[in-house]
Amino acid sequence: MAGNSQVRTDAFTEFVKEVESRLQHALIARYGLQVGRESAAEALAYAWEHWDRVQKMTNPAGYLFRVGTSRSRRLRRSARALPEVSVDVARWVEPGLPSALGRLSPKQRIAVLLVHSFEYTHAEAADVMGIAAGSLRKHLSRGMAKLRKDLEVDDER
Amino acid sequence: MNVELERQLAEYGRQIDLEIRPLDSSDIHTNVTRVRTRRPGWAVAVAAAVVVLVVLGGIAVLLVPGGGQAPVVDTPDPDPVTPTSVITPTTLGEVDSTPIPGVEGSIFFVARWTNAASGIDRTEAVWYLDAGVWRWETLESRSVEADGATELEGYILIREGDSMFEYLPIPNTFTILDPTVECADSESSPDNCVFDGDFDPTADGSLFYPTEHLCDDTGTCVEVGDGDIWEECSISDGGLVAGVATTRYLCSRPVIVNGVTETESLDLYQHESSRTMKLDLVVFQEIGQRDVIQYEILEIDLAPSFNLSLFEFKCPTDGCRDSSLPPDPFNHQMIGQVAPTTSGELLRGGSLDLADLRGHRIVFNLWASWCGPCTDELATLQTVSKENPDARFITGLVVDNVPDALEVMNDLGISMATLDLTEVPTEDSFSDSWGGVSAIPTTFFIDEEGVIVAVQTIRAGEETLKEILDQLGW
Repeated sequence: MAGNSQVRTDAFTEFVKEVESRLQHALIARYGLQVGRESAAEALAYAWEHWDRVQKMTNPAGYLFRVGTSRSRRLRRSARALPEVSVDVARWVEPGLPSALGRLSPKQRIAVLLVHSFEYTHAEAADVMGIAAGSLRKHLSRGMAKLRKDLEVDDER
Repeated sequence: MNVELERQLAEYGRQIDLEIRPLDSSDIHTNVTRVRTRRPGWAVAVAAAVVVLVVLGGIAVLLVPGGGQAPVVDTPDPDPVTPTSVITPTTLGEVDSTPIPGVEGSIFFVARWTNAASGIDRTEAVWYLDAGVWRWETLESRSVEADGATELEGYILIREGDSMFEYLPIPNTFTILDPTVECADSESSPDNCVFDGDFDPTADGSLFYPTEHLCDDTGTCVEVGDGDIWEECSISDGGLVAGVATTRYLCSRPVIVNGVTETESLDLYQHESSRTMKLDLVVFQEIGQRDVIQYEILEIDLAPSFNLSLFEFKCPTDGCRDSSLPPDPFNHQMIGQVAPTTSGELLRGGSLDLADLRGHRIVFNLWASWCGPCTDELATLQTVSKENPDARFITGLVVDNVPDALEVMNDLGISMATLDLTEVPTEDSFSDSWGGVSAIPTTFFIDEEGVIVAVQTIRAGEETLKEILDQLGW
């Protein structure tokens, strides 16, 4: 029994290493830094509780992302808080970017941040969001268009 | 802006990455601290309540067979015809408000399930002390029958005194296509539920929060609301808590801390006092060998009397109305009063002063784009306005931003004149002057003399609006 338990723990630990950052990225993009992190923690706790089923899934990260959105219910009343632009990057980044991101729809914001901020491929981003690649592209293009309009950026080329 | 947007986003992503670190115990600690000292998370309160309700289920007190909505045995639903009984969130019962050392706000919880005929299926309320101010919030969910389907929706109102403090729509609605098939969980009946919200119906635990797998008398496993799983529960006499004989429930469950499984424990007490089923929950949570990281008192009173003055809730002089019933549009403190001066810019250009419409019948609706019931009602108002050309239908946008509102108006085809009242804080004299608007949507009916003759304080369907207009002879 103890051996089985260790195998389970080891497998889960490996799994956490693999999906933790993706989960955090997606959920932070959705809910901001604190709630996103907490949601990711809760999603991983859920994964452990349901490990027998989760480990057999073809896209466990996408599944846990949805679990994270669910588990964030009690956290959502916190103001969505994407980090302010730090002084170090203020030269490069419009200070209004976080609030402009906050005005995107959740799926647009996640798509934009995953692809352009966290350097996910379209397929990877769609995977973790649990949506089709076509939907991802739609959210991405609309989100970018809205950001450009909002920030009055005229650099589309 | 000289730097292209993609590069800005990449820089910003690197900045966020610097702030991301592997999850560890402190994340849980942060979470718990926030819950403890600020507002009680609904899930925390509900889950804790469900734990208790569930446990009590073993002594056959609370839960209705089959789960779902559960009326409290000791507080039968009031007669919907004679709303004289006082079972509102203000009738919680005697509450021990003695501050708990180290806990800023004691938290009190009541769950009540009201008569379905009222249209409000369930109301849950939490009172808490937030930075020295008592606030209470209600979670209301309703079912709406339409076209053979049942749609459930919900929202949370946070109030301070009798004024609305914050409104939090629950962003998910789902439609049960066949009410005879229980949507107890998404896996068993995914095709029966149509979702409009964040949740994916294929994600187990993402929408429905199972309340089965309860603790039995032997204290074996429970799975309770919000998918929380507590294992290895033991039940024992906990001795005396606050002088009352108490039963203790001690449960634990695994949590993941930095990828390592540790154990979180829940210590829960329940006691009864006199005729009242009173549940005091003392919740401790520990991670492994760490110190206690959560210390929470939840009190659940289920058949109580309540000290109203404690929370400064102002009942009308004729007594508290049963909140499970729809508010009476012809029984409101503003009726008979001259509509307050209200003017402003219109969202689509121009300006308007309600006083200039003297001589006309006015239907004046306050709404916001983020408020689901408001936008539903807005569409209904638009329809009704076409059928009542003698009345001027004016809306006022509050606590919102204009672009979002315009988007909603365009989507819904709203042509009613809409005043921009977004710069007016809800708590200021504007709200007071209109009789303390505590929630939206709220609709005022103003006659030709400028006198308020009816006030609808919750979302009204087409039938209700027409009935009000009919009663007014409009």
